[in-house]
Parts: sequence; C-alpha cells; structure tokens
Amino acid sequence: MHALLARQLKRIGIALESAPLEWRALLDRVSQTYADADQDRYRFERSMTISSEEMRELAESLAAERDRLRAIFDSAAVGICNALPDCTIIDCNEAYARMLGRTRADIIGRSWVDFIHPDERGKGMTTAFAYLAQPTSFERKYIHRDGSTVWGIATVSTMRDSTGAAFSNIAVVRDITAQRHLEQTLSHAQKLEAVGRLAAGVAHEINTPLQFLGDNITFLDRSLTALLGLYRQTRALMPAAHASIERLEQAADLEFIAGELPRAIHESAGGVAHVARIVGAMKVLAHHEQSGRQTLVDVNTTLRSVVTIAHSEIKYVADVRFELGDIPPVLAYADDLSQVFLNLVVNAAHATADSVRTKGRGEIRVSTRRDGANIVIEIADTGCGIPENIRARVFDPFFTTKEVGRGTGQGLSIARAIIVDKHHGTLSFDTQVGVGTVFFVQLAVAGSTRSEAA
Amino acid sequence: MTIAVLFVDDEPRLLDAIQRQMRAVRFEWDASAAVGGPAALAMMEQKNFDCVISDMRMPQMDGAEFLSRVRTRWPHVSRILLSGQSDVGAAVRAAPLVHQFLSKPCASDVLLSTVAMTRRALAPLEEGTRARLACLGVLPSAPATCDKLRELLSVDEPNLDDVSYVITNDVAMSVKSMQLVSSAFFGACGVASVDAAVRTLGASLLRTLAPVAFGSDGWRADVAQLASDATLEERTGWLLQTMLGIGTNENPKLLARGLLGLWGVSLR
Repeated sequence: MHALLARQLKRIGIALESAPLEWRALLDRVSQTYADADQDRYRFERSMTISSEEMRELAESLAAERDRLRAIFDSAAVGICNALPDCTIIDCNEAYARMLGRTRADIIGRSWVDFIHPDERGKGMTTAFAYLAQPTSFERKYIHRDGSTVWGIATVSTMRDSTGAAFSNIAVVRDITAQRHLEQTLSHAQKLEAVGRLAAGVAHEINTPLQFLGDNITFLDRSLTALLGLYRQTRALMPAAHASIERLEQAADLEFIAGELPRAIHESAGGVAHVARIVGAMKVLAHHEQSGRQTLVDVNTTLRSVVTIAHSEIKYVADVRFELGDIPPVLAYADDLSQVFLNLVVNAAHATADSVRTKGRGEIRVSTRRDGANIVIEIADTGCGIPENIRARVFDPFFTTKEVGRGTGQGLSIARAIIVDKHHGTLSFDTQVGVGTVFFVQLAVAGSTRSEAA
Repeated sequence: MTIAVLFVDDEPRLLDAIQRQMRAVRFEWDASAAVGGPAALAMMEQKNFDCVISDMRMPQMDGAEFLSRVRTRWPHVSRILLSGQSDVGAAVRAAPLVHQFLSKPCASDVLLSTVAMTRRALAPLEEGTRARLACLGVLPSAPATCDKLRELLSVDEPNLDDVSYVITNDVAMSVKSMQLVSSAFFGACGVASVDAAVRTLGASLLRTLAPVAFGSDGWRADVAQLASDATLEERTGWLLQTMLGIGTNENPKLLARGLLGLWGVSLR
C-alpha cells in the first residue's frame, strides 16, 4: 500500500484490515496510481535537474564563444564597424577606434560619416546608405581625431538573418595610410630626381653661353676704358676745337654715357657672376653619378650652395649669416644631405616670411662646428617659432601648417629619416614662439657604416 | 717667346669671346681657335702649339678622341679640358688623356694661369724629358695592386678603409686620385690627403676610374714597389726616374714637381 493512501485512510479512520473486501481492488489501483505518479514526478524532477545543468553548460559555452568572437573582433588588425543603414554605428572594434584616434564609446552611436575626411563628405556619399547585394570595397579618406588624414579601404557587406532579411551593414577597413605615405614619398623622391637630372642638363646648357658672356663683358670693360682714355687724350690734343667738341659731346650726351657705360658693364658682369654662382651651386648639389653611396662631403660648401639655390625664397625676407667653422669633410650620402639642408633652409625662410610683417626682415644663421667625433650644423631663423601644441608632430609625415602649394608636409619627416635612419645622426630643434627656431643636425665625421659594423 | 695655345670648341661665339680676351695678352700668348676636333687637328699639322684647350662634348669628334689623337701625334703638347658638363663621370673617363681639368665658365686669368703653371712646371727639365712627361697619361701600378683594388671594388658596398689603404700605398693611384679631386670638377676643394681624395671620389667613381687610369701599363711589377715611408712627392720622383731609365740625369724632385705641376696636383 502506498504510504500516502495509508495516511489518507488513517485520517478518515478506516483501517485497511477492516475495509470492506470490495474496496480492496479499488485501493490497490489507487495505490498503484499513487506509485505511478511518484514515479512520474521523480522522472520529471530528474529531467528538470538534468536540463538546468545542460542549460548552464550551454550558457557557459555560449559566453565563451561570445568572448572569443569579441576577442577576434577586438584584436583583429583591421578595423571593423557595424552600422545601421542610416549610418549610425552600433558597434566597432578597437582597431577601428585606434585608426580614428578615438575610444569605442566615443564612436558608437555616431554616424560614420562624421569620421570621413571633410574633403570627401558629400562626394557621392549618400547619408542613407542602402543595403548591398554583395560585398563592395570603397577607398575612403578618414579624419583622425588630431586632424590628420587616414586612408583606408573599406569593404562593406550586409548582414542578414536566416530569412534573408537585412538588418545592418558591416565594414572591414584596412588602414593604408603608411603605404600611402610611402607611395607619396617615393613619387616625391622620383620627382626630385627628375628635376635634379633636368637641372644638371640645364646647367650644362648654360655654362657655354656663360663662358662667352663673361669673356665678352670683360672685353667690353677693358675696351671701353681704353677707348675713353684714348678719347680724352685725343681731345686734349685739339685745344682749338674745344668749344665745338663740347657742343658735339653735349648733343651725344657723352657725360651720361661715359658715366653709365662702365656701370652698365659692371652690373652685367655682376649678373653673369651671379648666374655662374647659381649654376655652380647646382653642380655641387647634383651629384647624380655618386648617389646611393657615401662619399666625403664638404658640408660648408654644400651649405653655401644650398643657400645660393634657395636665394629666391630668402632674399625678400631675411639676410643670411654664415658662421662656418673649420670642420672636416664627413662621410655621407651627398644628395640626401643637400636635400635635408635645403628643406631646413627653406623652412627657415618660410618661418621668417610669416613674421616679416610683424617683425620686419629677419635673419637666417647657418653655422657649423666640430664637436668631438661629430659635426654640428645649426640652421636658425628669427621667424615665428613653432607653437607648443604642434611641436611633437613636426616630424610626422604629411604634417604641415603651410597652405596648399607651399609645403607637402614631408620636408621634416624626410629630413628626420635621412639624418636619423640613414646617417645615424640626430635632428632636433629649439624653438620659442615669436623669437625663432634653431634646427640642430649632428653627424658623425666617420659616417654611418662604422656604427653599423659596431 | 710667346706660348702658342689652341682653343677647340663647337661654339664659335665662345671661341670669338676667348680670342677677344686673348688680344690683351697677345705679347705673351699666341692664341688660335678651331671649331671642332678635325679643324683643330688640321691646324696643328700647320703650326706648332704648346697647349690645347678643348671642350668635351662636340659633334663628329668628341674631346676625348681629339685629345687622344693629340697625345699620339704631338705628345709634348699640354692637354687641358674645358668642359661645361657637370657630369663628373665623363671627366673621370677622360682622366688618362688630360693634364688639367677646367670647368665652364672659367675666368680667362684662371685659364691662362693654369696653362702657365703647366709650362712652368716643366721648364727646369730637358726638352726630351718634358715630352716624355707630357706623354704620360697615367703612371704604372704594380699588377698585384691593380688586382687587389679590382677585387675590393667588385663588391656591392666596398670597404673604403681597405680601398684607401691600397691606393695610399700605390704612387700612381695616389697621384691620379689627388689630380681628379684637386680639379675644377670637385670644386677644387683641395683635399689634404690621399685618404680624403679616395673618400671624396667614392666607390662608384673609383670603379669608373680604375679600368681607365689604374694599370701596370706594361711596366714590370717591381717598378711601382717603393718605400712608403717617403713623401708622395719623393716616391713620385723615384718612380719617374725609374721609368725614364738610366739615360736621364734629371733630379727626381724636379721630375716629380714637373709631373705634379703639369697635372695640377697640389700636395700639402
């Protein structure tokens, strides 16, 4: 008899022994039903226990899977951004945030169009970005939090549920900024090389006419002196005709001619000498046969040539003062060194030009000195100085404060690469806003090979 | 006694201008001009010259070919290159043919003082010796030294310390390197030592220079092997004395100064 039935019978005061016989079969069936129910409950409870265990395990593995996916999402080297068709970003990974110089919190909830470079916004970029039938790649120019440009290739695909209904877009963005910079630097270097070759050719064409221009001017000068002397002597021999000679002289404006002709000749000679100096400087700077190899470079001569070449940038804004010390030639890549000096001198001229209205004509000081096994080159200007907030970035590629056409933003980054990476020297600066800037280049006299070997 | 100079260029206006300049010094200098190499050679058949000053790039016959013919036919004549090219490599290739390198534009007083220097350097020597020195385009090096240098320069990034050691120990190579570096093509910067000259030239120019200007030139190996504790001038003198043979009784110092002056090498 089932214990529950026995208790129930006992409560209503029926002893089983005294129960009428015809109840027995019924009670047995009830007892059996109770036992079956017990069995069922037991099974149900058991299955409940098992399924909650399974549920917990399943939940745990789901969480692990989610974390794994999140980690993949976050540690992926490419930027990943999940956005609604109205461009609102619902999620993005660390790489995407890093690419834009922001935190994820700063990005999520905003429109991705906010992070596109202003130059490109609206250029065929519809704000309502429809779902895509198939993944599509776009080259995009983004804007970093600090204002610099970031180039990326975004591959956008639409995410769909099991029924095929689209619910959001996912963009995978590869940052190609470094590659872009390299390409631009290369094309810049190629342009420079082409210009250099052209300049060497032009210099050659100019040298022959310069030779005879110079010779002829010297001849004219000498001949004029001889002729004027001869004229005066001849004139002195004819005192009787003095009055008529004077009249003729006045008619011919002789006094003016005799005064101005030598000046005209001297100025022409000065002009020819000036052109010869420029062509000579171009020759010093165009070392094409030797590029790619270190040679002994006379830094003082190179600096003088650079200033001659940059004369057009400097002459209206500053005077150049040389303080060139007695320094030994240094083993270096001549072409590269010229480029660095040219960049620094032109920068100094631009800095001075910017302050010429407020401070008047400035000065560019170019000095060299020996410092043990090194030489130090200083290029100082009395220009506007570098504001504190951008000092850390002046060597960054493509960072420029100059207007379009005046600077590529590559000058100082290239200078840094040449001096620090290629020559194992140092490039630093000291600046004071409103007072000026000094750039210091330090190079080892022995060049960079020995330090590489060490 | 006037010095007879022949100017050779393909630009008649340049020759006219130089002639006008030379008029002022006509009592010391007898200047002639020829447009191009063939005209110059024809003129030289007719008249004796002490010196030719030639351009490098000319149509028909270039400066190198012209000067090489002059060297063969009239070895005693001083050969000066007056080039408008900024290409140092071209000058280096002409190195065995040329006594002095000048670069356009060149003031006429510099030009004349250069010619005068070549004449003055040779003046104390006997006539026959003068012609023999003028004929020399290069000095001989020991074959082993040439081989060693070729080997050093054959690698991608030659070790300039080793190259400099080999060249410094060889009289011929030292003198030729110094000649090029003291020339107008290097801004006549006047380097202080053979080592500095080697480094100024750099590996790629030395590669151009070595096959044309560094050789044993048919001389016996022992000729070029000289004590290296002497000065370069002394070593040059001994080398020249050995080359010219027992027949000469010239002072080695004068021989050395003659050649170095002719080549425009300034040793400090």
